[in-house]
Amino acid sequence: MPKRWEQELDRLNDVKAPSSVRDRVTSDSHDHRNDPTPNRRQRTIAGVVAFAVFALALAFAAKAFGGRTVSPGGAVSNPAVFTFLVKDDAGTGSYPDATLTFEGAVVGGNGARYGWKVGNAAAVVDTFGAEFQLGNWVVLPAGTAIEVAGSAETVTGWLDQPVGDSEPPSHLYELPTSGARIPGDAGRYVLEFTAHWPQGVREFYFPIKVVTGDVGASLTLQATPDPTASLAYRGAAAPVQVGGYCWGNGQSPTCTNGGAGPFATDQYLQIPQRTELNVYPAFEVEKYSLGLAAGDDPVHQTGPVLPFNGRFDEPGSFVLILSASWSQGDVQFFFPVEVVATASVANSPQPTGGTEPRPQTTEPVPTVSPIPSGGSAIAVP
Amino acid sequence: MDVMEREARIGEASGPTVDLDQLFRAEGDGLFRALCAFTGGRADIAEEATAEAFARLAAYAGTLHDPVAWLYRVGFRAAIDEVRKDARSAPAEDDVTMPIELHGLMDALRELSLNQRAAVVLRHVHGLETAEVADRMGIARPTVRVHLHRARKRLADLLGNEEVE
Repeated sequence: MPKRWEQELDRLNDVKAPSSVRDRVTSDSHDHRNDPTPNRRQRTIAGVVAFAVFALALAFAAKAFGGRTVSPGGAVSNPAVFTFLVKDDAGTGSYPDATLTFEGAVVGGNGARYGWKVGNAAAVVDTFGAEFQLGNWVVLPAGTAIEVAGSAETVTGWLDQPVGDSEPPSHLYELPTSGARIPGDAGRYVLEFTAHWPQGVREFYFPIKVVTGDVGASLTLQATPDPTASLAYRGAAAPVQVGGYCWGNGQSPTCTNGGAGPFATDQYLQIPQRTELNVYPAFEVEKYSLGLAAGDDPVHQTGPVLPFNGRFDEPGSFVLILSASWSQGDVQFFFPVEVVATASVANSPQPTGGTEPRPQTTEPVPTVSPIPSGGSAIAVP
Repeated sequence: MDVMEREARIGEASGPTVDLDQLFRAEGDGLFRALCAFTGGRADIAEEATAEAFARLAAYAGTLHDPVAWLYRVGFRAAIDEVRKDARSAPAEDDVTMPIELHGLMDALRELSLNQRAAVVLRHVHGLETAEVADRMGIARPTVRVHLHRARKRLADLLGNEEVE
């Protein structure tokens, strides 16, 4: 027998689209069918344009790279770096934090509640980010090397596998004491780390999605202390422009003009056609949307902003538009992207005007040795 | 790439053709229903978003691998835009134009997040599998499961969890 709430939901089955919607859709459908000429013209133009673009891309690749090509799914040798640091916040004081850096993307870890001492004072800090951000799986290639860095005295790690919607993951095995690597089998896992500092201990969780093919491009966004976003593909980052926005707690927001303008031709981040985009929003991001606009000027767009379905399917030059909302305000970010036809992808130079993704800290990051057999790691001064 | 060039590319693509009339007969009511729930009973916004989604589909006909999933994603996005615009311009309460017998359900749905509403309606009213819900919402399957888990719990609290005839 159904539950009461299910029965209530069933009432929705009586809802039908009004006839006015039906009429509008039918009218659109007929308008579209009765004018076949533009489609033929468009096909002709498309054929000419496609050939021209293909020929230009081939010529460009041959001139720039002497015919060398690199498969978009080629081997990736960069490690995934897990950094554990004590950060300082003007309002709340010091706190333990962790990030994962891979191929230009910097993603925060999910930190659990923790005990922390400052001087003679001790406190238990509850956080609301402890639950897994299941929509925020970081995509990593199978077998990627794991490096641990930061200021923690010791770090131990476990590889876990999620077992249900919101349940804690099950331990698979302790991470090897040296030469630790991301699993070789595709799937979803959780890397669980426990980091020890003199002030206290904190656990961090990193949900990861292991893939055996190309990891795609990454888009990260965060809100503290200012709204920032970065777009990277294979370690190269696109330059970012920010639209005008107001930012604050609702009492006295600070507004900025942004100063966005046209991108230069050498600033476009080249991404092979059919590359997937992995989006890593920070926990505080309420919502975001993505669109693609043809051309080079994010402010004075000449064409429509097309919905972006998460994969760069159409070759050409675009501005990727990210609209993000936080409790502090709404911000638009613009990234220049050149989607290169797969057949002509070469070992392309990446934009000279690009900026590396904004680092989450300016503190020096000491290297931490591999975890010894006792299950702890010692910081190297 | 200018607009004409881009449209030419779109026209050149070789996906399955779409019979808009037939698609509306099959999916129009379902999309409208989902958008009504998604907007918490804003039939006016659901109507606009449904029409907008089908109008965009007409422009992209023949280029989409999964027109139904695309239709829902565009519909949800159009509805979000309208809801946000509306929130900024302080909507009047009497804009809610759902039948009276659905007001209790709509009140409960408004207690959920937008994604929770979409997930629970697609799963429990449309009867879709989690993977299909994820496709139509344009989000990952584990995220759908989380939205469903929270939405069911909240609706059970608000509407009752006892078994009924």
